[in-house]
Amino acid sequence: MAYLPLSTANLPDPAIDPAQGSSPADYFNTVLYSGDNTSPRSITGVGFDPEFVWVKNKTSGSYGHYLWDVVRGTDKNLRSDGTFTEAAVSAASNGIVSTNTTDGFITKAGSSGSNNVNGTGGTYVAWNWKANGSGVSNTDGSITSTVSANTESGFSIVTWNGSTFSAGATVGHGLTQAPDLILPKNRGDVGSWHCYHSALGGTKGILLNATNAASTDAGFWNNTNPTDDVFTVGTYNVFDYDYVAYCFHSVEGFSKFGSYTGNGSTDGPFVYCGFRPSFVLIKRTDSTGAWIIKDSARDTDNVVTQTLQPNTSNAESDDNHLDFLSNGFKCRLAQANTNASGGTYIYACFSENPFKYSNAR
Amino acid sequence: MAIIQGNAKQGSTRGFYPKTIEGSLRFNDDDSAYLSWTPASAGNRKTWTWSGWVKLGNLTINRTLMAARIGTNNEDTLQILLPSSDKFNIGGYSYGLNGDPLLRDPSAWYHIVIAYDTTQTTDSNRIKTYINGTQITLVGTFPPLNLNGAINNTQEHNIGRRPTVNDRYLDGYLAEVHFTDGTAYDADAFGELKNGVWVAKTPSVTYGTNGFYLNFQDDTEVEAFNTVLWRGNGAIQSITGMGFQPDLVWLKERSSTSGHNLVDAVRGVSLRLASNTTSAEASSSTLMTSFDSDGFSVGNNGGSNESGQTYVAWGWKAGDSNVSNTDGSITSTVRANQTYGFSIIDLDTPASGAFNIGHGLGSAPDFVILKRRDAGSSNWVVGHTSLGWDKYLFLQSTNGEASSTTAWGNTTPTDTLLYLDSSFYGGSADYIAYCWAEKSGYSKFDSYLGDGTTDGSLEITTGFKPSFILFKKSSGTSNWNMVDSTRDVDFDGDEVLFANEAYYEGQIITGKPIEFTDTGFKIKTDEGGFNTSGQTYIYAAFADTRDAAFWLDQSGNDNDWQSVNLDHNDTVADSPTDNFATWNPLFRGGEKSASIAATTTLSDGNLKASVPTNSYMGATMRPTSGQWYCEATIDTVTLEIGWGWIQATEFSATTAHAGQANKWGAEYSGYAPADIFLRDETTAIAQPTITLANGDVIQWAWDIDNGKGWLGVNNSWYDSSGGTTGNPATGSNPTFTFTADEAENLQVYVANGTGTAVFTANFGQQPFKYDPPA
Repeated sequence: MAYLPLSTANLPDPAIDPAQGSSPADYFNTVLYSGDNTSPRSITGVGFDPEFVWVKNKTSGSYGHYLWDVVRGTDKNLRSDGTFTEAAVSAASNGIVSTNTTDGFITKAGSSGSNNVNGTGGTYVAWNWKANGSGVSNTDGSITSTVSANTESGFSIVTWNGSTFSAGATVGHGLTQAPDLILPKNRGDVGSWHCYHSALGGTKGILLNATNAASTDAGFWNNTNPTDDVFTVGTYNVFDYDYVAYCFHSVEGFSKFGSYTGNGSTDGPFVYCGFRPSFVLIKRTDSTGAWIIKDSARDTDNVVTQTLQPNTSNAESDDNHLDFLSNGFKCRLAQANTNASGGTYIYACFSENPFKYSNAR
Repeated sequence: MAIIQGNAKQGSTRGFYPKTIEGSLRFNDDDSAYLSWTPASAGNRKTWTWSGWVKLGNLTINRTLMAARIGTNNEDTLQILLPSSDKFNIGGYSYGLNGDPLLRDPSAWYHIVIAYDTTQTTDSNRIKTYINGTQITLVGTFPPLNLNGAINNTQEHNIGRRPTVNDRYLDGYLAEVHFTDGTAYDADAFGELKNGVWVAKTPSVTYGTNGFYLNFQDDTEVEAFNTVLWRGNGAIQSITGMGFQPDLVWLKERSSTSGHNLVDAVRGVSLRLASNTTSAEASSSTLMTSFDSDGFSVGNNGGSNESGQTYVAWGWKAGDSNVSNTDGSITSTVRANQTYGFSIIDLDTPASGAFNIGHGLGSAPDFVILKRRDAGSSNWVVGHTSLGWDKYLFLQSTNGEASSTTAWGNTTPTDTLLYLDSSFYGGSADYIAYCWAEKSGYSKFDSYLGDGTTDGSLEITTGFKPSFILFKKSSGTSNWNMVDSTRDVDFDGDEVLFANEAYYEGQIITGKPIEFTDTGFKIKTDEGGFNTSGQTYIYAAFADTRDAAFWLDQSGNDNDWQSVNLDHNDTVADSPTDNFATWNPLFRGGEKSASIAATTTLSDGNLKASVPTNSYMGATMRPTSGQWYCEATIDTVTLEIGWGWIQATEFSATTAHAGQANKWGAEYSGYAPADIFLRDETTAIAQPTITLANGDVIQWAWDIDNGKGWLGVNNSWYDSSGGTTGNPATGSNPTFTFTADEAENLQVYVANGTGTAVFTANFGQQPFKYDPPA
C-alpha cells in the first residue's frame, strides 16, 4: 500500500458510509415540530424507528426534557432537568412520549394537556437515536442487564435492577468498545443522573441534571473505567431500584466524545471531530456551568446560536455560539458555559456527514 | 495528458459522486489574480444563473466571485461577493442583499448558486441564492422589476475581482463554474442530494449566447507546441501544463528584464543560449533542472524562478531520441518530429567550404534558426521561406534582411538537406539548429505586406487559430515581436515580448496590435514591428491545439476568459470530490490550549504559511488509520523552525518548541553548528547535523496502523538515531513510534521559534517534489 496524500477522498471509508447507501441520519436524527395538543399524535420524519427519543418544548421554560426509550417501554418517561422518578402518563400532567413508530414517535396528552411534548403554540425539538429493538438479556456483567445495542453506531440502551448488588458490580452494555459517555438514571426513585465521560475517567463523574463541576467520587463508577463489555457501578448506580443507562462510544465519522480547553475569545477553540456535526452536547467540568445542546436542525446555518440546557427546563436561548464545520466545531463566543479562558469542557457530538463527504458549512 | 498529482486520485469516493470534479483554480488575493471576459454582445441581462463550487482561503476580507462594474447605476454594476462579514452578498449600484449564513468554513467546499430573474413580479423571487442546495434567506433590497443588470452586458466581467475599481480579489478556490444566459435555474439543476450529501451532477442546462462553463482543467491534448506560465518562488518547482515533454524550451521573464533562455534536449538541460545576445552557450544547473512528462522543472535561477516574478515558456516537441544523421555531407545529431515538422540539429561545421546536413524532417524546412554554441559574438542566423534562401536575418538584431550566397549555400533546402557554408559560419564551429517545416493546420511560415491600417482590415490567413506568432519586418529595422494567446486571450498588446531584447512585457508596445481569429490574425496597429505601410513582414505561427485550458469555456460557446496573474500552477487537484487538506486558519492553539497562538498568515489557498515567532500551524485533516505522506517547501528558513506531529486533542502549548508532551518533531537550530533536534514528547532523541536552506523540502510519512512516523529532508528520511536509514516504504527505522491512541490523533504541523518562517505545504493537491513512499 502506498502512502497517500491527505485528501478526504483518501480517508478510510466510514463505518456508516453514504457511499454504501447509509447515512448518519439513519442512526441519529433531529426533528422539529409545532404542537397542536392532539392526543395521541404521531410525529414523523425521523427516518427510522427511534429507540431513544428526547423531546424538549423550545418555546417555554415551564416544561422539561422528556426522554423515552424502547427498553423501558411504552409511556415511561424520564427527565434530564431534575431528579425525577420515571413517570408514566398518569404522573405527567402535560404529556409524555408514549412510544415509537416506524418513522418517529407518538406523543400522548396528560391530565392537563400536552405542553411537555405537543402543546398548542409550542415548538418542539426531538433528538432521536437508533438502537436495536426492545432489548435482549446480557450476562456479561455480574448484573444481568437488558440491552438494545447498535454496535454499528456505538449506542446502547441498558436497563438493570440493582437489588441485592453493591458497588463494584458490573453491567454488560452490549457494545464492542468501551463507552465514552454513559448517562444513567435511577428509574424508581428521585436521584441525579450520575454520568461518565471518558475524558473524566472512572474516578470522576458529573451530573446531567445539574450545573455542578465534575467531581472525584467513587460513588459514580467505583473508580473503574468501563471495558469493551461492561461498566462498573458505584454506589450511585446500584440500589434497590431499576436503572437505565444510555451508552455511547466514538465511531469514526459518526460520533465523537472528547474534551477541550476554552480560550475566552470569539476566535475560540477548534474541535476536530472528523465529521460535520448535527448535534453537540457540551459541559464545563472544572467549574459550574450549564449543559449546552446545539443542533443543526434548529440552526441550519452558522453561526449556531440556539441553546437548550438539559439540566433545566429553560426555553431556548441565544448564547454560547458555535460554528458547525465540515470537520468539527469552533466556539465563537467567550461565554462560560462553552468557552471560558482556561475552562475545561467535555463534549458529545453526532454527525450529519463524515468529513470524507461533507461540504463546508 | 492528465495532470499528474501523485496518488491524489486513489480515493475510494470516486464511485459515490454522480460527477467527479477533477480540479479547481486557486486564486491568491496577494497576487491580484482574476479572470476577465467582455461579452461581444449583450445577453439576457434580466435572467441568468451562476453556479460554482467555492473553497475559502482567507476569511473576513472582501472577495469577489463575479462582477461587472462600471459604477454609476444599477444597469452597469452588479457584483457577487463574499464580503468581510463572511456573508454572501449580491448587489447593484443602489441595491444589495446579504445572506444570513456565515460562510467561514475553509476545510471543505460550498456549492453556491445564484438564480437572477428581474422579470419576477415578486421582488424576493428576483434573486435566489442556494448554498449546498438549500435556498438561503436574503436580506436587503431586491433589484427593480425588469432591471437590465450589468452582468451579461458588453462590459468587462471579472471572476475574482471587481472591474473598474480593481479590488476585492478572491482568495480561495473555484471549481465547476457554470453561467447560463437567459434561464434562471435553481440548485437542483447543478446538484442533487445523495444519501444526505449535496453533490454535483452534470447539469442539463441551456447556456444561451453568453453562457459559459469553466472547469479549470489544464488537461491539454497538444502534442507539439504549447505555452505555459508560472510565478517564481525562488525554490525548485515543476512547471506543468505543457501537455507533453518538450525538447525545446524557450523561456523569458515576463515581469522584469532577465533575458531569453533557450534550452533543448539535444544539448542538455543545463545548457542555455540567449536569443537577445550573441553570447556563447552557458551552463546553469539552476535555470532548468529537468525536462518532465508534462513540462519541465526550474531551479532557483533568476532567469526562470525568481520569487515573485512571472515567466513564460514556449515549448516544442521534437523526436523521442537523438539520432545520428548521415544524409548530408557531414554527420549531425538530429532529434526530429516529422509529424509536426520540428527538428533540432547539433552540428560541427567543417574547416572550410560549403556543406550540407540532414535535418530529419522529411520535408523541406521553412524556418531555420542557427546559433554557434562554442564562441561568443556569434549571430543567431535566421532563414525563412519568404525571404528566400539567399537572404538571412539575425534573431538578436533589429536589422532587416541581408543577402548572402553562403548563409544557405544559395540553395533552397530539400526534404532531407539544409545547405550551409563554413565561410559564413566559421570553420570547426559547434552549432545548434532549430528547423521547422510548415504543417497545414498546425504551423505557418509566411509574409505579408503592411498597409498601415489599424482597423483590422489587414487580415492574415493561416488556416488555423494561432496560439503563438513571431513577427519581424524583413524589409527594414524592427524588433522580433512575440505574441501568444496564453499570456493574453484577448491580446490587448501589453504582453508583447521581443526575441532580440530582454525587455519585460509591455515595456515598449501597448495597445492592441493583434487579434487572433479562428483562421489567422488581424493587424490592428501601425506600429513598425507589425504594420508599416509598404513594408514586408515575415512571421512564424503555431496553432492553438489545446482542447482545454483553465480559462477556456467548455460550454461550446467559446466564451473564453483571460487569465491575469493566474497560471498552470494555480490549477490544482483540490475539488469538491477530492478535497485536500490545507493549513487550518481556524485552529488557533491546541484543543487543550487556553491561549491563542500568534497569528500565522496564510496565502496561496491556505497552503503557504508565514509563521511568526513561537507559533505554529496545523492541517485541516487528521486521519485515524492508513499511511499518509505530505511535504512542504521551506520558502524562508529561520534559525528555529520545526515540523512534525502534534496530538492536537491533548497538546497544551501555545508555542511549538519540541520536547513537549504530545508532540513529536524535528526542531531545526540554525545556530552554528546547525542541527536538527529530533524530539519525542520529552527529550531530544538524536541530533543530526544539517544546514537547511530556502527551497529545501521537508517531509512527513506516517503509518497510523503500525504506529510509525518518519520525518525527512529532501528525500532523506531520518531514523531514531539521527541517521538517514529511515524507510517508510519498507516500514523500517522510523523516526518515531506511537501508541495506537497517539497515532490516530496526529496532526501535521509546522512551527517557528524566531523571526518569521515561511512554509508552502503540499498535501497532494499539486505534484509532489518526491514520490510518496510506495
